[in-house]
Amino acid sequence: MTATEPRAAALPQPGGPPAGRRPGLGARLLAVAAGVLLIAGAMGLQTLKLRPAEVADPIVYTGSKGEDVDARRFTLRLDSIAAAKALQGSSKTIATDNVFLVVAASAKSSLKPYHLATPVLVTAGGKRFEATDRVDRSVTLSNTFVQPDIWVSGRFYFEVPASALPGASVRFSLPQQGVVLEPYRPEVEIDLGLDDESARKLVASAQDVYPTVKK
Amino acid sequence: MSTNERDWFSPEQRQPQQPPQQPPQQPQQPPPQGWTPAPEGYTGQHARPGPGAPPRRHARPQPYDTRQPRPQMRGPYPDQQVWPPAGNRQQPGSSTQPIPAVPGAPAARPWPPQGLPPRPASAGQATGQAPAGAKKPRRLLVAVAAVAVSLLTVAVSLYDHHDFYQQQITRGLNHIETVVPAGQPGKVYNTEWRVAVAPMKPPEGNKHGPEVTWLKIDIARRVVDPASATMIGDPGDMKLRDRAGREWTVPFEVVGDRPLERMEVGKDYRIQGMAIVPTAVAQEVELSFEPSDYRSDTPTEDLFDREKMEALGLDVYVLRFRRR
Repeated sequence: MTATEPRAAALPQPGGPPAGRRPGLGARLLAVAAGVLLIAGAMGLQTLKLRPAEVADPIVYTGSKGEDVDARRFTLRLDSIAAAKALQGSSKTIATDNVFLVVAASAKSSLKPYHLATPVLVTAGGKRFEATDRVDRSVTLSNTFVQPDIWVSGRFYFEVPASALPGASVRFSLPQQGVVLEPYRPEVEIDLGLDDESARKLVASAQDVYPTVKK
Repeated sequence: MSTNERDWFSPEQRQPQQPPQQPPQQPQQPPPQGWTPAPEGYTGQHARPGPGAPPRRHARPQPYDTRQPRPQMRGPYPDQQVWPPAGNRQQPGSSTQPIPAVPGAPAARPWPPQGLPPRPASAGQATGQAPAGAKKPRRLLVAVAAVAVSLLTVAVSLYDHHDFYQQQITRGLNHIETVVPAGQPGKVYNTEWRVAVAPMKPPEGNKHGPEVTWLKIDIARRVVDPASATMIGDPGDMKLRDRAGREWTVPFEVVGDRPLERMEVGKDYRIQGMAIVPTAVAQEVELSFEPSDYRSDTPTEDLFDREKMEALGLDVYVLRFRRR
């Protein structure tokens, strides 16, 4: 009779009570609450998900003037800033109604040679100014290879209104490689340390003609 | 008109009707499933009128008191079970299909089957350890399956990212590096490459101090097989690498004769480079580059032929020259 025993045990009693025991009301309420809590938690976690634009955001390392800021892939130091009313290149002199901000920086990299991308000046109000393209790239720091353990120095030139200077900072980054937008690119943001007073002083002390090609 | 039938077209009578005839006793049957006696005080206000009753808007049927026996509205015949036969009711295992009994067939098997050990009281209550033991592996199985599915999801996602990286960043190139012993030529595509790396005097007016060493790089290439005489492309990705894997770029130029169509077999063509490295690693950095697989006799239209370009393969040969 043992051969038929499992089959007999598997058959439910017709008309009898259902096979599984129904849990009590408290346990069921608890299960429902736990389920709701889990769903709410899952939905809450969705709000933390990075949007595509945020995924593409760089990782910004901040620092102040004269300080070596290590962005892991490259290290950058902002040496000095100056203002100018005109820039003298090798062939011609360019003038502006606004003001030329000359940013002198030094950089080295960690593992590979890079060229620095065109830096961006971010005002206190969040406006962004790219370094001017009126100055040839060959006289900026972007032209120089930034290589491991070798400090190189150079300048970048911005053409901005004088009102953009107070509270402004400059962001340095590496150019995009290939067609793929790399997430978590390193970026160095250096506060120029200009308040209203010092910005006014800087503009007032602007050189008439600043030579971009140093002899 | 019988006395227990109401005249719907005459005004309602105030006094209770004569108690209707008692329905005949149900023949030994429980009430049909789903029907329960109305509780005390239930008036049946919302009960639907029985079949045959006129629509409500003409006259509302008088609510009946369920404490009284159910009034017989219509249909003098009470429900009567005709199938299955009342006698089979006691055999739960028997079929309710209206199949006529086969005369002479053996009687239906009794339920529960005779001769079997008694069933457990309920499925949930364990007869010993068997069901409890069955429940534990099941939980374990679910847990293992959950972990496996999670891992699989992550793995598929990672594979997808890696695939994307391979195609977009490295473009599926397969780098084959050959390490060349010091002083010997490296050979790729039937071309021999000899290199010499030596410190040089820093040029005048440079911005670097003694922490930087200037290196002069001389490269000579010699075709040893006429079949490769048209491989005149400049090497690519020329760099100096130290043991830690850091890289310094090597700008170079072709000096002397520049091959335009074909190179002479056995003749040295020279390439000169100049690099700066930190003095600390000047003695250990090694030159590496990728000889080009370009052939000057490639028809221009072939360069735009996807199949022919893919037929060249994705292998990229890299030569790395030891210093000592």
